[in-house]
Amino acid sequence: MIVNSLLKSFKSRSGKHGWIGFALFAPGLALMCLFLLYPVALNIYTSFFSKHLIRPRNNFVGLKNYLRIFNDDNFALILQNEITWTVFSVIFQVILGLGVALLLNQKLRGISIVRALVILPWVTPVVVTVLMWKWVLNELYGIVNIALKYFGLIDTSIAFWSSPAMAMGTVIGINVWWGFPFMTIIFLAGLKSIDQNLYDAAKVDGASPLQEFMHITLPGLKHFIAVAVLLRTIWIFTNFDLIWIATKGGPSYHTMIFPIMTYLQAFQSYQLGRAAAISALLILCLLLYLVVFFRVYKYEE
Amino acid sequence: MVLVTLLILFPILWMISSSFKLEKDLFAIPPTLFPNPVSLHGYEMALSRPSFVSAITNSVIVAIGSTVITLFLTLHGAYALARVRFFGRAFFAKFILCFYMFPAILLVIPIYMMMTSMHLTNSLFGIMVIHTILNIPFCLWLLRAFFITIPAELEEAAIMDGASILGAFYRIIIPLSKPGIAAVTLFSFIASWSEFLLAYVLVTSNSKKTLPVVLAEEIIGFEMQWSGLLAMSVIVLIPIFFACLIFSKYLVEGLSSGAVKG
Repeated sequence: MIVNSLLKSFKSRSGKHGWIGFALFAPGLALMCLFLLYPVALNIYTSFFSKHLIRPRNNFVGLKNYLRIFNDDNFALILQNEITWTVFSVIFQVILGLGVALLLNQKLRGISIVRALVILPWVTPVVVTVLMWKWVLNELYGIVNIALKYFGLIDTSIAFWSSPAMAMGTVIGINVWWGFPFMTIIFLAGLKSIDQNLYDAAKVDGASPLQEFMHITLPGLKHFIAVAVLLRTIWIFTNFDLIWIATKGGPSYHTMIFPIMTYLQAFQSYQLGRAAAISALLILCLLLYLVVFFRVYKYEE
Repeated sequence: MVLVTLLILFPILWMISSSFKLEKDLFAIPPTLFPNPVSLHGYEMALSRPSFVSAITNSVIVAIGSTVITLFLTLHGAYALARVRFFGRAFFAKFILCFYMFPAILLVIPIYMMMTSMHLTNSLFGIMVIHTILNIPFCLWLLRAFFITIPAELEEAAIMDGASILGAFYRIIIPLSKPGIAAVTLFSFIASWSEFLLAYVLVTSNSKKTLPVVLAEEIIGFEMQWSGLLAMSVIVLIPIFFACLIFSKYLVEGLSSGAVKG
């Protein structure tokens, strides 16, 4: 209380220094406006033009770029991939992230080193992640195929990369491995914020570990899970690096998602207008997602 | 717990072990757990690529440069957001979060157009600027959360004694914020060191490419032998792992406070 009121008085006294605050903050703000607001506007503007990356062509074409996206022969497949990729990646990252967080939420000697080790996948650059999994899951020499054969679980090697049925599963698996530590970090902070007395009280009442988890841990983590799912969904939905380096959207469009289409249109077909239209649609999807997310979230409250 | 940790880290350990094997031992069935004999052939192959060596230099310059600029801008900005009252402060705080959430791929076309018109493509400085911008939102947010936890009486007292706001900030707040600054430094270094998409799009001349770009091109092009590719990956990982182990205490706590608080 005392700290709070002091803080308030300090803040109000420094009110006359308002311009200093603004000056300190201004460079960062200017950069953000220049590189967020202006680009979004420029992107939407460009999406109405037929613009070439190199040639100086710039004709107004109205909604033609947008119609083109929906008339693409592969539109249904890409949409399906996009949803599979996002939903399964997020669900498995939450499950694995929560499991590991529960495991690491103990007071033991050296636990901070174990925590640092477990989040290593997340700080591993995506390029390195993809390469190491290409090696581990190699069709002929990969350790996973060799081990599965050794234990007699399979007779012929699994084509993790080249089979259309497997490729999406493979990239989702890599994404889960790479991204779950982010969930773990957030959930560890969440677990710390739960009042320990609740668990003691539950023990006195003879609750089972499962009941404790369902009635204390999960409700206590609700907000943390919401934040993690919100951020992750956005980032996975618009992920480019992982799939591009792993499969380039192949084999034959089976891991193709919209962000990769954006890149291909812009930097391989040189059609900036068409690429901008895909981006603009994705931005629209994100805004809709945010609105729906917060509606549902508030409703749940 | 040890078992789970080992299982999670298995691909990394397997890659490191494989990178020290002779090319022919890589394809031995059954494979050996440890390299025997230990061979540096892969590393020799990796370091004899001029494109890879210049990429190491480029990545070091870009990552350190953008980390320094990010630190300078966000330390001041976050202090302003945490302590000094000014017009529109609450709005800006929310705006930062929007920016943090905004994925780079959705901005890649306009940013490419802007950078082209400013003649900042094919330039290390250009990538440095872009990485700085990508890092600012998270670092501002984390440092702001950190500054708010420091009691204001400390600066109160200093200002009573005649220090200016900035003087109080440099002499009192910054020394108290070491864990937060460590977390931010680590975050922006790793983020810049690993960033792929914009470095990939904005640079086409071989002498200006960064490590992730060169490695990705080697993976996609696949001319090099496996031991060379694996050695390259390990080289890219080394600085990150060292940084993480040194700062392991700050990393988890620092990141979680920034990601969750406020």
